[in-house]
Amino acid sequence: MALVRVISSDGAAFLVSQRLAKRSGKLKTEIETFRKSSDNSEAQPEIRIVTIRAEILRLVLQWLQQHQNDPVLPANQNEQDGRGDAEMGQSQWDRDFLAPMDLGIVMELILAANHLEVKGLLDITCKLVESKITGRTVDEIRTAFKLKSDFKGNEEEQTRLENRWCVEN
Amino acid sequence: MDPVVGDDGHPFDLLKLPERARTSLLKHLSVWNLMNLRLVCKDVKAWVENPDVLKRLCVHVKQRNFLKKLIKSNVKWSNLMMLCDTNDVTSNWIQSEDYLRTFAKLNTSLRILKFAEQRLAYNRGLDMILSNCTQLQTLEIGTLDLSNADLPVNKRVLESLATLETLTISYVAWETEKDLQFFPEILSGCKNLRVFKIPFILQARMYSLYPDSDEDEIDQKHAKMMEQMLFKPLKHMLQDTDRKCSLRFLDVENCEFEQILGGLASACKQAGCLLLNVVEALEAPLPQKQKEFFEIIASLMNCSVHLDLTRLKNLASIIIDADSAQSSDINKTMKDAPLPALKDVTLTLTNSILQSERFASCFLQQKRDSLESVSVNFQDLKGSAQASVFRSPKFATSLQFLRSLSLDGFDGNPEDYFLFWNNFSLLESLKLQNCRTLTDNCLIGPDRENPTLLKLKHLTKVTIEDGELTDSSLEVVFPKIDLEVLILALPKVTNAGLLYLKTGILGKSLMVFQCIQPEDCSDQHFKDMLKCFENLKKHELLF
Repeated sequence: MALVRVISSDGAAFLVSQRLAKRSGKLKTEIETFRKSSDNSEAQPEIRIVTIRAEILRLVLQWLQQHQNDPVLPANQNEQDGRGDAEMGQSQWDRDFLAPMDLGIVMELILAANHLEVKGLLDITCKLVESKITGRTVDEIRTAFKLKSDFKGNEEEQTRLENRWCVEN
Repeated sequence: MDPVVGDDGHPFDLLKLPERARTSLLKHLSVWNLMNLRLVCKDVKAWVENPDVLKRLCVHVKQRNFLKKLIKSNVKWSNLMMLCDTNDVTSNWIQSEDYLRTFAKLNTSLRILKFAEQRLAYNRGLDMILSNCTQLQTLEIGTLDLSNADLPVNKRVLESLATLETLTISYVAWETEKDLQFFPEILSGCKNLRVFKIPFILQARMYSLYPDSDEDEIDQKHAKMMEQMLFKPLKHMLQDTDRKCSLRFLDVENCEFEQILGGLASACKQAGCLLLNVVEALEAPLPQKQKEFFEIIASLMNCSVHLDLTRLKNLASIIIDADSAQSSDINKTMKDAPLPALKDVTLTLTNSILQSERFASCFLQQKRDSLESVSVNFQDLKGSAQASVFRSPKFATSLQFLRSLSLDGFDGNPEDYFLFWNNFSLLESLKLQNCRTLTDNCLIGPDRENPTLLKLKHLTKVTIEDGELTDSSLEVVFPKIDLEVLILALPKVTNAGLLYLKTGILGKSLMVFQCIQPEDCSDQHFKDMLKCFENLKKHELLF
């Protein structure tokens, strides 16, 4: 089995099959680039991911392994038609996988999935964030995401007025 | 390179989400949640007001004051679908300044406009909407009141209608026959119309116009008027030799005129336009001999906007191409639609549209006991994408009453085929084309004495074109099945392989045989071999 060594920003090495690694758009490109530039076809590629630390990289690889037989979703899938992706792809395993994570880890996972081009993981993590927004008040959203209002004067009130068309009948 | 994430991890920063993640997040939020997000802070507000986010929103306008508020909104709506189902059905409300200002604001962005339950007067208001909304693609009106319509139709309206693709009007009210001149006029302006629903011209007015006529006479006059004002211009549109007719679907749900509709069917067929009745399906009033023209839905690609598939209780046959499967409307309503009368499904799936594969897996994995025939053309959809649909036991068990299976371009492994043979026990017809991975093992399985294909005890017709089958299958499998029709185009089969076919029960049962003549088989040998089939009625050489 052809393997590839994936190294995290903090130096941890993960030995994974190339088949599995290629389910990440970024790793696939890196492996193919290595193949083209290497004289030795048997040489084992080594890819450094300087933007993702070991704990997060391990989670990404764990997710990829679980979903290794799923169809690969293109990263640039038409957004209008992509509604329901997350519902389609989210299994009980996914829910258990995400359950213990705090939002900080989820954020890192989103950035990692985006960087490594793993569309399915990006979708389910975004869905989790969505659940923190759906049905929440503005204050609850601000608290959950540690955001502060920066509206000045009556700007917030004005926005609230603009919203009336959809919140009141 | 700047690190994407810090070493210590950090709190969730909504504002630092990459563009792709942001889009993925926002696309799932409802309009109410999106509007709420605008209140969080300025940066998030700017996010939400991105036209790419807003373009998918459907605004369901329930009351008149709702629109007033919408006008006050400074949100730069780029594309809104407006569904107005107010109880206010008076025909003059559309003239209200509030509405006109709203539509004027949306003039270059509005694509879909639905007044499904309303009675709309064709007056200054509607005239202005149609002339201003120059990008309108779909217009749906419950009842169009043409009473004393100001005709001829404004030239600007006719220009606007050139972009219209779907026009659905259920009923038409009128005062004088002259009002109905509206249809010939607007149909001449609809140069790109693909879906048109034939409206029912309300009959009530005829009783006051012809007080001395009895019901039969009224019916005749009514039919004549429908023919003159609707069917004639439609026929003209379909038969126009100067420009190719764009019409693909004619919805005849409200059409009660068997004879006239029968006349229209031939023109439709010539123009490549299909008659469909989205609600009653096969019960459309067509003369029996014209039924063949009534293909219920040949492609959902362009009529998805007004099709509610969950209502198609009589739909018997459906052909879904790659484009229709890609449509989000289709995906949403189709995958779960019960379609209790559905018997035949033809799917074309391509790799360029991954959505289609997801659609297919959802649609085909529904429990569909009525389904008798499934035909799938995979085109360039390969490997794991196919597997997600067909390697699922759910697929096999949900279609256990299948009688006909046709796969084109399927590259499954032997286990996939075994799943079919084990579950589709009622299969009568099997067609496998361009299945590159189809080997003897897929038909024979682990026990040569007892080939797995023999589990299909009702099989009477087999077509296999291309693939890796050799003489081995012809020796071990086919002679043991009492097939009536066998069509083989297998490049690896030799003369010796063909000779096996005349042995066993196949020698007595076969009635139609078509095949490629192997290179090592002379014409005389081939003729001699055919003579061995006792009941052969028809044979043909394939090239």
